[in-house]
Amino acid sequence: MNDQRPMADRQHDAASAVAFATVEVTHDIGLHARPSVVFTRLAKSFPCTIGVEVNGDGVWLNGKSIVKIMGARIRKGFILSIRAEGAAAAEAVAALRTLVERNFDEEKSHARSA
Amino acid sequence: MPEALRLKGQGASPGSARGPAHVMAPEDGHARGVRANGSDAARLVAAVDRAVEDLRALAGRSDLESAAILEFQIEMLRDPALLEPSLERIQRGAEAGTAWAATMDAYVASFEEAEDEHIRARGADMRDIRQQVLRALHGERPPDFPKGAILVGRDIAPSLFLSHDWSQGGAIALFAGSVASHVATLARSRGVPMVVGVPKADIETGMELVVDGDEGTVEDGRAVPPSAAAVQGASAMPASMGGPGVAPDEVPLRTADGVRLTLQANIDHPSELRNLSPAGIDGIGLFRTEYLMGSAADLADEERQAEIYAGMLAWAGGRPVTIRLLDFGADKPPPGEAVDPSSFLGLRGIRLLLARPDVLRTQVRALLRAAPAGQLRVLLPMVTAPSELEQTRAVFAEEAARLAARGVPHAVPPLGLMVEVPAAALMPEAFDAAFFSFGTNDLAQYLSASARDNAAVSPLYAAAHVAVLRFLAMVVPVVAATGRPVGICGDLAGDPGALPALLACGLRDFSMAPRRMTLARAALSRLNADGSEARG
Repeated sequence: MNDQRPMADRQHDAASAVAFATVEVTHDIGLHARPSVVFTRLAKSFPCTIGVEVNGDGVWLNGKSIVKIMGARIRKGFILSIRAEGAAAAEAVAALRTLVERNFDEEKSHARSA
Repeated sequence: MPEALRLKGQGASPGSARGPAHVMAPEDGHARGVRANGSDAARLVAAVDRAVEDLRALAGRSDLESAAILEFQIEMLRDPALLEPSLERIQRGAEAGTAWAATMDAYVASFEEAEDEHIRARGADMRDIRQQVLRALHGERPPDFPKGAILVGRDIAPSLFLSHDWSQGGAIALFAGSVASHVATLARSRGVPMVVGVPKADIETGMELVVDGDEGTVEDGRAVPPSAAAVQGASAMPASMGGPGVAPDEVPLRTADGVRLTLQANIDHPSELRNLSPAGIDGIGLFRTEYLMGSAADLADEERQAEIYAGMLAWAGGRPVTIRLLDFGADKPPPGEAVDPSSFLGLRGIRLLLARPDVLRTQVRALLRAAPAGQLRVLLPMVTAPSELEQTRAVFAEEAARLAARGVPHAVPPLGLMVEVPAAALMPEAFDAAFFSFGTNDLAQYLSASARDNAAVSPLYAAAHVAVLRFLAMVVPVVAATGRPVGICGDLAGDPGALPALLACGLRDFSMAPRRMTLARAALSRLNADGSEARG
């Protein structure tokens, strides 16, 4: 998973189907139970491999493993790097980044309209 | 007898309850390390599968919120990241249970030493998963305790909370525990009083305890006069869940000066009815059907919808049941579609349904077929113009004619308006609606021009509270002048602080979440019909 090329090259490399993005966690509680379920389920819906690095610590976790994602204890303000390789890599990275930006669609279940 | 026991912890779920203690044995749950027949690897895989199956069965019997918590456990169990290290340990010679316990212990520890309470609270879920697999491996049944008892222990597993029957009351007192735990969330939504962080003390099974989740105390029942506990009991069973708080003899509800009021339940999922007594309420004032629809396949399943609706009508036993047409859009997208905040002012509610007639017609047929089972009323969300009501009425008429042609039994229910768009609220006489029901959450959003889901404007949304009350004071009499019944089913109806103002507006029919009913009932019966405090 470790890609030594400079960041600019990694941004979007269609030829080898590698995609990369960074995103800040803004959810108040971080990646707790339900966000982790939603994140890893979405990751598992893509055929490519997906890695997640937390705060640039150099350790790439399997983005499809809820055990690994929960184990990283990701909190508000943490920076996630998401890297996908293989078929639909760009779509996967875009979808996962948007999910984090949307706060994992959590409001949906809390702000029920009457 | 030493001085009476009085322990101070932290309230995790409000309300108070009295009952006999049931002390849970400390959860050793150690792996037995005993070799059984068959390969250890195969036994462990089978045990994990069985634990997943049991959780799926429990989730199937649970409400949405509970099922989401169980789904989390299921995802964890199905992740190879837990099974693979265990299988490696087995390869190196460990017995199945020992291997699993060692993997889980290492993982649980990483949570329990965290500083963040929300992360630490997940440790309870991990221990729960650990125990479920060990029990499956040893062929043991999950623990339970007597109904109505006060559970006392270090912590309680979410799966135990969810499999226990709380209909006879009871409470939870924990020496450890967390207000951020899944069990605390569940206890709050079901109205089970809960106190965490209770100092360790000698409590024996059978000892009578009073747990007060508001004060965060656990006391010897003999030291608390039963009358005092009964007074506390006013908030003791906010839950609804069939507790004594909604005893049948409390219907009908009247104000202090004798004006009849009705109190109905807002229901999100039919599973909520299991623990609610129809005799204790005046019917269902709002059933939100969109939460039934987990997938596009559910939307198309007319049979399933018809069965669910007929089941609710039968449950209500002749009391009115108001079912709202699917209210998708904005923060509640149709299954499989993305949240679209712009649709707060776009296609949502009845607008979206009229744009997707296949979805509307399926639901309409299901409602027509269920209607003979009881007193059904149908509520239209987000209506702005009379034409929307008339188009929907035409769909009901067309589908009824088709059912009649096929000889299918059915009945056409009365159609009412959910009043949440200010333009409709100001023009009630323009609508030929059988009844009106105010939805205050969206009304507040549209009056304050502040989207409910936008944190940047949430102070403005909240600040509009007074304006919403003034708006209601102006328009409720106008709606009432149509001669049609008018009620309220927004969050405001369950807010005891708003009830005097709502009564003063002329509102008499209130619908709210079941857990809000006990407090609202107590508040309403202390007020006069004009909203003033009754003199004691």
